[in-house]
Amino acid sequence: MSDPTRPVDCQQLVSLLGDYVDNQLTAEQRAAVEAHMGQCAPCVAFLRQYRFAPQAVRDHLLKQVPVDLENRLLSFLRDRTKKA
Amino acid sequence: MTLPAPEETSDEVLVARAQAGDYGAFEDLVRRHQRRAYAVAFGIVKNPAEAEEVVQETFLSAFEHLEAFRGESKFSTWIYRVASNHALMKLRKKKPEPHGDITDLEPSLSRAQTRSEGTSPFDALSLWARRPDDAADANEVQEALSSALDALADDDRALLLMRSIGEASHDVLAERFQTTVPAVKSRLHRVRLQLRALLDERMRGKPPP
Repeated sequence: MSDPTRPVDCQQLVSLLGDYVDNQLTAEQRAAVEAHMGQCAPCVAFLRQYRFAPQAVRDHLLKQVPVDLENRLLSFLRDRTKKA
Repeated sequence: MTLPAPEETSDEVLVARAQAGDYGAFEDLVRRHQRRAYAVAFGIVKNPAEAEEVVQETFLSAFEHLEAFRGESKFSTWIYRVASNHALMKLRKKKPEPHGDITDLEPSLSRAQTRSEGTSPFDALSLWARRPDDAADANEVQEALSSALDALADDDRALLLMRSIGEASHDVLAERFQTTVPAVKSRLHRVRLQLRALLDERMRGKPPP
């Protein structure tokens, strides 16, 4: 985006989403993105999906952790490090 | 009356104690980070037994190399990076590296954005698509997440998980993947777009691209 104060369209907004969710945009770029989203419900929905997907993957994987992993792991480590 | 929660001992303090020979401090570090280390490993190897082996190898390696840890990065970053490295090594012993060419993502993004009819490429988004957080616990979403994650290339999965679970900085990711910070930011963005598109495809019941 050469002019950070210029309004952004949908395609430009998509290209900025990574920096937007990682708080890497300038204040002007952020304002332009948020001004666009204030009047574009589809882009708000797209942003929600974009932000949701990695967070949901993280939560999904954390749900797969075996409940007794900690005890097994500590036992394994004590055995291997001779700290039993 | 509720008592304030006791202040948690920092990783830095626990590492220093562990380096001084306090095995209990090392175990506290293990307790604190084992769940996320497993999640990173399982997300890459996709097999519970192998993920547990990776976590065992990760913390054993951490114990053996603890004296060499100088705190230039956070302990958590170090652990999740070691876990992702062990997991990728385990995968590569089993199979050749998939193509995983990130340049393939542009067409799938274009399809995702143009397949709907109407003036906006996003007109046909479902109610689920508008409020994904509300659907996060649904079985369909959990199945779609698992399937979408499987469809990512191994290195892309590792990148995504180091960021979303390990909270690795762009600098750490750039070093790990031997590239520049702008390149890793661009790649992360493309992987997130691909994940979103894959999830969207699965939630709509359409075949993946």
